[in-house]
Amino acid sequence: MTVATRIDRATTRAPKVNLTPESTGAELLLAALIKEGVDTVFGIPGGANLPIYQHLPDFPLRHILVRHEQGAAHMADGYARASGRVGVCLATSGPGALNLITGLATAHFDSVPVVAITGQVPAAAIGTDAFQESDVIGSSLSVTKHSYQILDATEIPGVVAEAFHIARTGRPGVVLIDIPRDVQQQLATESAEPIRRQRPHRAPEQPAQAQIAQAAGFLAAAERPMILAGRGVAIAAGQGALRELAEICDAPVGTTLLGTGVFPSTHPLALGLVGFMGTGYCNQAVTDCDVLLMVGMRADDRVTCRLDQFAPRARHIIHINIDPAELGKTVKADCQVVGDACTVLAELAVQIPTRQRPAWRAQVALWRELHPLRYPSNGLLQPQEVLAACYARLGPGDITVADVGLNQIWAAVAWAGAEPGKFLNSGGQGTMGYALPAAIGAQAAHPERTVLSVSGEGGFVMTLQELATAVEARLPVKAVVLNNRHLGMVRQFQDDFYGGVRSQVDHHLTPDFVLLAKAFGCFGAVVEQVAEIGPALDAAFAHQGPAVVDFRIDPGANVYPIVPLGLGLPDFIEYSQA
Amino acid sequence: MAPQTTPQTRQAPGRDGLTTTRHPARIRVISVRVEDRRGVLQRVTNLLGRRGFGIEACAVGASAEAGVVAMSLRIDAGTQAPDQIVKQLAKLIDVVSAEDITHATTVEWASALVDLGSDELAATLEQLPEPVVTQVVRQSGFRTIVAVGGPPGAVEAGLRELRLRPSSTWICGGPLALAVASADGSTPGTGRDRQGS
Repeated sequence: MTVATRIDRATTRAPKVNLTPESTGAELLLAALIKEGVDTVFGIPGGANLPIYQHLPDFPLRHILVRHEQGAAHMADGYARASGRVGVCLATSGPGALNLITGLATAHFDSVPVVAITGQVPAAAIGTDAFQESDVIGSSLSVTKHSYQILDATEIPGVVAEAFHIARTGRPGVVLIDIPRDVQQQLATESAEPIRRQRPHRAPEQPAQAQIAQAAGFLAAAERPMILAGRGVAIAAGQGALRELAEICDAPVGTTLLGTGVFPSTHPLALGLVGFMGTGYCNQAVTDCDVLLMVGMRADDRVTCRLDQFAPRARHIIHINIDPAELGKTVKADCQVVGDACTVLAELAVQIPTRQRPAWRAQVALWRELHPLRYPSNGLLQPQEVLAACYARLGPGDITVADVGLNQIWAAVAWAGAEPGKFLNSGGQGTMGYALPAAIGAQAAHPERTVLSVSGEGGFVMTLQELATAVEARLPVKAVVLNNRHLGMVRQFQDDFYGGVRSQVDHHLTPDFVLLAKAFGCFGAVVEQVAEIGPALDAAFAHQGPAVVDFRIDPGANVYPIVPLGLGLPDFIEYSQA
Repeated sequence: MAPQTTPQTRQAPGRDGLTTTRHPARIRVISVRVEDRRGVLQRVTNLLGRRGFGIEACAVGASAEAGVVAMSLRIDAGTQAPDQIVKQLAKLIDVVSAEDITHATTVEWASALVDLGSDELAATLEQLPEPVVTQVVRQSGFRTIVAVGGPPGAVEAGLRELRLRPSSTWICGGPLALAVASADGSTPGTGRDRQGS
């Protein structure tokens, strides 16, 4: 390896445990992070957060120096999704803070607990259009659960405690703390009053028993029950309860993109991905079921497609979500249960008698036969072949992070794992460039595991500068690039839905990823033939540091089934019809 | 939910004549209690705007509770699901409670300040129909400032119909709304039981 590497553990001095009676705001902040159990932060220093970085070496925190603030936000997100803990990112004011926004939106849309700490120009300069001033509070309002601008350092411990509580409680989300540089330098005492609230932020109380009993009655009486599950089940650690309920009801289970892994993909009742690019048999089962249970999911347009054709034969729709605002927002469920997914699922499992539904199971099995997942066999490298080889090399604890686009759907549909939290992707925002930095964050949370990043070449080049971070911080992610020389999903949309006019989707120039990988100090390989897949992956996995493998896949490879824009789930088109 | 198109009359009109305001179906009267913290108004208005709700009128000010600011909002729900107004507001950390009091028995009161022209008499304003009330609050030299209060529709419509001289001017504030009984007749709660997630 030609690039000098060093783990920036910031432990060259004895870790600071006790603060002096008079500490700076920056020290109060760092001590408060330690108190919240933070061990790793992702960030970049700049003019307005230098006091924090001045004191950072005094605290037992691992700081991972990223190359762009968007990377810091995605890394904090990946760290949080992989570990179940709160991810933390740091940025300076102005462009540094604004660069975080895409990453914060990505995390917030997917209910990921992240705390972002931004430097701000000195308090007296706020509002004067000072150098590197930005209204990060205003700019981030719609992509945060809450935010603070601290103008008195004595408030820092209380704000940090509340921020972490809010980020991780109820429906998790993003909290931003903006601290002017002079407040970071202000001397203050450690003891501070906690924030007193008129309405303390808390998780919802116990779900209403009446609604649970109603839902249990609907499911018990169902002839064709169907379950759809999302990431909320993973957040609530409800995968066991989900499996139990599905088996009790003999109900097939589909998952959202974010729910990938909440139900074992090899389970006989698993129908895989639902929605716009979901499996034909899952979408058919949603269309034909008589009782639909949706749990820990929002039911956005990518799940429902045309709303009036979503579950049209369902006599009852049950919707469980911890966020009351998600109930009735799109799908008007007649049984709405506010509550923790695990609690409600476990309660339902107790109340519903076990019943086999052989006719319904036979019908679903028939759809599986009628609508199998198919892909071309044309001598070109198919993404499914690459992914199968990748997944075959992963153990049960290993983590896959998908980017956005065709690669994301291929990776989700092919994923063969059995646990939540092992397949990560940007489901709500669909942020291209997510995979590599999020994989680096996940690797920081689990240094002992293999972490795979799966991207297209379009998304990969959006954040590939973070390869430097991976090498420097010794986070040996394996980046798989499914390189089709196109903005693939957009190209498929143009081909299928926009009159076949290919406009600005060809990447006439894609970099030589092998050279690029080597330039960053990574292992690099390129694969054009099926026979080369295994050896290249073996070499990449055997390499101790980060690796990039450029798979030159069939440029015409598409995702099927797909629901044409504006149509409903039953209108999916398949590969054979395409 | 399909948007309703028929106007609805408020329930239980009171003898004072202040509870009979008619609201088009898509207008919702929302009572919000928020913590008195910097930026809270921005959080509320940003949320409503982002979710496609129009703020037709807004009154913000102190309440009987220490540290709590009361907001009375008239929201044009447009084609959005109106229950989302309260559900989304309740998610804001600084919001103590949010209630839709459109169908509750509610007293609504709007205030206006009228700057009459130099030679116009305050008595002109007495033409305003009951239960609108007027009070001269300042008279000096050529100018007479009159405070006008009453049901929101009556104040604004009344002032427009008076056809005051061009030299006069007036401003009308967003109406305050206080629920005195819920739609089911019970006394409205404080909304503290709202779930925060």
